[in-house]
Amino acid sequence: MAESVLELAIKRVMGWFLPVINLERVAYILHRITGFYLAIYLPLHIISTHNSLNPIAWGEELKLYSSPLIKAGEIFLIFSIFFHGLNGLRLLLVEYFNIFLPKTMPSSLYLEKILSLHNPQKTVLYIVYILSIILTILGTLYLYNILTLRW
Amino acid sequence: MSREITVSKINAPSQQLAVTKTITKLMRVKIKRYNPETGKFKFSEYKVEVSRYDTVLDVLMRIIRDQDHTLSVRYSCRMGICGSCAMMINGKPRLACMTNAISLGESIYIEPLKNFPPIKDLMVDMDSLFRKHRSVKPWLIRKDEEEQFLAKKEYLQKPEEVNAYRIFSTCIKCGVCVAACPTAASNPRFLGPMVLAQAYRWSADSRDEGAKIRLEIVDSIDGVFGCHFAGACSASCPKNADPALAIQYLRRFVLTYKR
Amino acid sequence: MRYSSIAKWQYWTAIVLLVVLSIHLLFRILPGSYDKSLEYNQVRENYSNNLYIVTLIVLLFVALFHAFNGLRVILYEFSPRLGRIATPVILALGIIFAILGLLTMAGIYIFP
Repeated sequence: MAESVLELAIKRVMGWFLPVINLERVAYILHRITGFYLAIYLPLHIISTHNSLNPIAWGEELKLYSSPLIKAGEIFLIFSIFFHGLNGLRLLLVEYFNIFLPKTMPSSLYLEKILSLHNPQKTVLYIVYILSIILTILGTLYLYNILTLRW
Repeated sequence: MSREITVSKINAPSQQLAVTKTITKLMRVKIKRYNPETGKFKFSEYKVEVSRYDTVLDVLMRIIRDQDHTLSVRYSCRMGICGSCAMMINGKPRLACMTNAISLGESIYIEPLKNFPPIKDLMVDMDSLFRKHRSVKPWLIRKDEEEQFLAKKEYLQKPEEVNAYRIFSTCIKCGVCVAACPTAASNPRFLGPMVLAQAYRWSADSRDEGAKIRLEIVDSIDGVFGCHFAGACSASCPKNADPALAIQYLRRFVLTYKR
Repeated sequence: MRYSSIAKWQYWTAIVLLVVLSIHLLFRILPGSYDKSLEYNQVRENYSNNLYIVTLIVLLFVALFHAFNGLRVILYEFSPRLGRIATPVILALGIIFAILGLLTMAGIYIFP
């Protein structure tokens, strides 16, 4: 069956979502999307901070930052940083150090609860989602100068 | 539409069996079939009388017997231990013999198993899966090969040593986890959750001495590092063999192995 | 041996990034409000802090490695041929952006 490259690409990306949706899979998809977004943002940030050497160019850049499209991108950036960081921390602890996985395996077969998808790993996943949303809301409030801090 | 049918009493001389009533329902079964001559998929619809305890495999066998004998389905044990009848039922990869038909709702939608090339109707080509399985050497590797074939006594294991791999040894190699895995969907060279879990099952066995050989096979982006813990494999495994857990243990094994 | 050594680098740069990025973001919330933290004088004042300069240099290399290696893995999973072509391209891009970042750092000392 000959398929064009575009059809293959669409089929491969749709394969990320179907057929079973569970919370860890959603975290995997979001981790990829936020990682991709951050990897695109990083070179642009390096280029834009080059303007910090020149006060006139810096002023022009600040005017660019206040456009609503860039602001929306910045809100997604805040979510990306927090989600990718927290989920990455969870993946690091689970995959490299095997922290939230059972240390001793039970002796019975045909368990009702699937070990890797339940406590304590699931609790950490919920914490990651809730913390990212809370921190994104706080970050957005700070972005629009609604939230200010006094030290 | 449901109607009750009653099984009549048997008037044996000394005993009488109780009357049993079974609920049946007329269900619509839609099957996506692959035609190897044209290379395209087509849909076939059937209406089947399904009773309360029928499995999807029972429904399929009834269709083949009564309505359409050209439908090709793979099945063998009909009790969830051989792993032959894996297919997509109402969008989820499941074993047909372990899925109750009447509880699926209004209609049943059956497709061939995802992430495998189809051969005909609902049968898919599992060759690549078993080739990948053989490549991680899923057998006991020991240095003293002669002792393996002319053994003088059995290998002893403590209960903790058995428990370390016991759950992963319940895998029936059905391929449902491969159909659910997002990485297996986008990367056809990915070994797959079943293969990686079996690589861990043999490497964690205390009787085995060949862990180093398997770790080198599995150590690549197409191996254990293609898994990013989406957990869909463990969520859909019909035997609860938890391949995701085995892969995380295998990953730590690969990363911390002293060479 | 083949990918696990690069995977170890990916995990360790992730840990370092968590620390260094929080310090970098700290300098965004220390002045008190978002607009105040983006004023030109504030930005130049940050650069006089030596700890911050060291943080920025470490952040540059670590973030570039982590991000571009992640991109490379995604491209490889799509097709290995694309991954093989992408490796030198991404390496070159990484070096270019590292040099650009270092130029910015050097410019701080040349034009105070």
